[in-house]
Amino acid sequence: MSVQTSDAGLDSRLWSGRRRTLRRNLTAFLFLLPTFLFLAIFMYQPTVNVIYHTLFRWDGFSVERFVGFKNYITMVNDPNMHIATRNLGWFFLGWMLQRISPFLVAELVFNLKRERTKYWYRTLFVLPMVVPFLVTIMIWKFIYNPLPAIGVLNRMLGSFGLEEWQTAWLSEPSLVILALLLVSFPWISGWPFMIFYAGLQQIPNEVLDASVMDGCNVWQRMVRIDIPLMVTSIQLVAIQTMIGIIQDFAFVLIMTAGGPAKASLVPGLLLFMAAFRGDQMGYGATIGVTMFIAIFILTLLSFRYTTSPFARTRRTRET
Amino acid sequence: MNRALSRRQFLIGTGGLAAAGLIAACAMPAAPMDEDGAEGSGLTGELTIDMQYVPGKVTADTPVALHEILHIASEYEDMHPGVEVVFEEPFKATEAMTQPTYFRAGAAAGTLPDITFTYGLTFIYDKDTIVPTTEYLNQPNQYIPAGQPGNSRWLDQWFEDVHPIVLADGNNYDIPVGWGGPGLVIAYNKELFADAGLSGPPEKTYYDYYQACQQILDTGMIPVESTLLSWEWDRMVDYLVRAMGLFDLIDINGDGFCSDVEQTRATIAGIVRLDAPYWVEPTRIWKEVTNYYQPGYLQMAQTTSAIGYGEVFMTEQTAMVWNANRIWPQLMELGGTDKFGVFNLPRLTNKLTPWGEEDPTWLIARGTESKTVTKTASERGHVDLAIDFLKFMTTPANTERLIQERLGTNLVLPTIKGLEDIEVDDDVKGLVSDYEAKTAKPGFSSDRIGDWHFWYEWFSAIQAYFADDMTLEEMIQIQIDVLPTFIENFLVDKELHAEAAEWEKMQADYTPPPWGDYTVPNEPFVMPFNA
Repeated sequence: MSVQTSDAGLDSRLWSGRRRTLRRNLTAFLFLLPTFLFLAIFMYQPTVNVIYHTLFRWDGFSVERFVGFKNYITMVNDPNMHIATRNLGWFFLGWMLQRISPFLVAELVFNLKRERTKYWYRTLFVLPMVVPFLVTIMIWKFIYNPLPAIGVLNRMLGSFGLEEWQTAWLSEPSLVILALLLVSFPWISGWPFMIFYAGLQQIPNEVLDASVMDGCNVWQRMVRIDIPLMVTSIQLVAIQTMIGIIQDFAFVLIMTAGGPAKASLVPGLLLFMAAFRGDQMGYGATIGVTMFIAIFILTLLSFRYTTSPFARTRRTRET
Repeated sequence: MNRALSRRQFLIGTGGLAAAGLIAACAMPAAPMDEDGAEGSGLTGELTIDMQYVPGKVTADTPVALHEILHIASEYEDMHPGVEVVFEEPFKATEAMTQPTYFRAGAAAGTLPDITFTYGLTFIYDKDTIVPTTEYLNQPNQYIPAGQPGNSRWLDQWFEDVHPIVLADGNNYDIPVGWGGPGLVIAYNKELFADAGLSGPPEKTYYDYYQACQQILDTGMIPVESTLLSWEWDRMVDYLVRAMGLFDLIDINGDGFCSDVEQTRATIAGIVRLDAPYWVEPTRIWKEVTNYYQPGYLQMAQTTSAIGYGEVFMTEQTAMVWNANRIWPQLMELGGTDKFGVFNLPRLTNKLTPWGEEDPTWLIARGTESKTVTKTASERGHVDLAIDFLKFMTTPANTERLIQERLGTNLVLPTIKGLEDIEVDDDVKGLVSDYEAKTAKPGFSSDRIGDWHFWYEWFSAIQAYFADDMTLEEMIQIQIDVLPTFIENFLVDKELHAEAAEWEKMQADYTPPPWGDYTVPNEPFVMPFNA
């Protein structure tokens, strides 16, 4: 009995404390409420809605028909999805290399001796960020134009006497992915460079001094010290790139529309065409949900298998 | 005395005055109607309408601002003082295929105007969203003078081959405007033509057109800028479907229009076949024709065709360009008709393929700007008003005005009686004289069969075939494999399974196709003049 009384008192005190906390933070909650409302209405509700509609045959306007998991079965057996996934694999490899390559540039800039030179190089490499990607795409469409009078690439090849190399870069099924991967060459895109540079700056000076004392050359320092200590930065760039690769299709849509002969088709573009060209919202939603699951799993895996030595050290200390 | 009103007194006072005013207004006799309105048709209201273009404005596909419809509307308002005609911004799209989405979204949201234009009515066939027009087409058109076709029955003003569309339920659902035509022209550079020894545009067949292309190619120039948009192929299919006598088998209700339902029915009945010469031969020819296209034509995909279109022609690297309507304003700035000319899409004859006719009738598209009365008009009680305005708009006199202002920038062919004498004959305007309205016929329009998936597969297979990654036989087989999926989806969406069972039975009655033991040939097509 006395225990119950004691529990009741504890509960009462606990609730009273919670009420006080709530009162104290009420203003903050009220300010946050609109944000949560908008998030719920414009982000979470559509997401749930999309998952729901994967179970229906629906054109977006008429009455939907329940089809169970038929959309998923159709997608698994869809030859276009197989082609798109294979193409995505190539884009995945290529773009991952593209996005990681600024690491080398960041390393070079970081190792420059003069601060002023470092400053100018940093500015130079970050400056391309201000050019909208759409503009970059349009410029590269011009570069790839097969007519030498318009296309810079073919004109350059011609001026070097390499006329036999001139080709319609975006019209050859065997070349189109390579041509798309070459867009933005030399790939010193701003944000990976900034992340890598910031990561390099975070490496403790003691570690760098010790490496100099131990006689490390630049290459050894990069492989043995910088890369292992920058796993978090590399992971961030890799995850962002991975999400971007799987989600983004506008680039392919504008450059080639997935062609020629599906040689550059990607799942995102297939989703777009099914949903917004073919009014097959249910099927489009199914591809979207599958892409979401793929991104989710890949992100989990990347966290599971790539851990910074800093994090490992922290965990070891905690245990 | 200077006493301020309290808030309470102010509210009571103004509320009382408002109530008194309201009661007085209700008790007053109704205001007399406008004299003309009372004597006229009794039609009143705000009629909303959209055209295929923005009246009075130059846009991407309207090279010259079109004002005439504004004048016609103004005259109509003068005749009916209670009426105001309001033009709404039209649907913006580069492709007709996306119009159904616009239409259905507008119908669902209730934002469609009373009258809207349609590219191809059967795509949006939904009885809840459009108003049948059969009853009205059988009424007199009082705006047409007595004794002229259409005065006693509105339908009679159109030539028989271009009557309004009759859909599967036997009803008309739209009102075509009074002209037709492919809406596409080929522009040519007169200087480059002269350099190639060509004195003017080619004669009016594909054979002549390709011969001119070859002549230009032989001088080291690129003949034509084009994309893989299917107009060139599509037109050839149209001519062969007519030449093989299939059109009337497909168009079972005889309205001169092969609707998607009719085409699907014909497919199920075995009349439409993708391994038939009318489908295969144009594809073979087309591959050979791409030798005349600019390098990189394969990258000009459907969705990106609008970006940079015409730049190769405008930089004088090709002698011709398809779909010149789209870049006509730029051509006018770059030299105008002194430098550039246009000619109409050619006809397919038996000089190019033995499956063609010797002297085929010109094939036309239906009115490119058909009008549909929407459910918005029903809901607002504007159906009679909408029909009345359309009767006024489509009279021969008004149609002539609408045609005249288009001459020189677009291909127009009168499709109603009484306009045979329109004078349209010079370098640019002469397009219309190519046609004889009484004999020109509508085309099959193959794009009414198949959904996005079918056409995407078709387009991708064409690209693979043209890139030599696939044989013609493999390409056709891909299309044949995809077709049943489309048919099944179509039958489900339109709830036509019961009818489809009947259509299947028709296969047994159907006379064997007129192409005998034709098989898809893999050997390349050779231009007859190069053979």
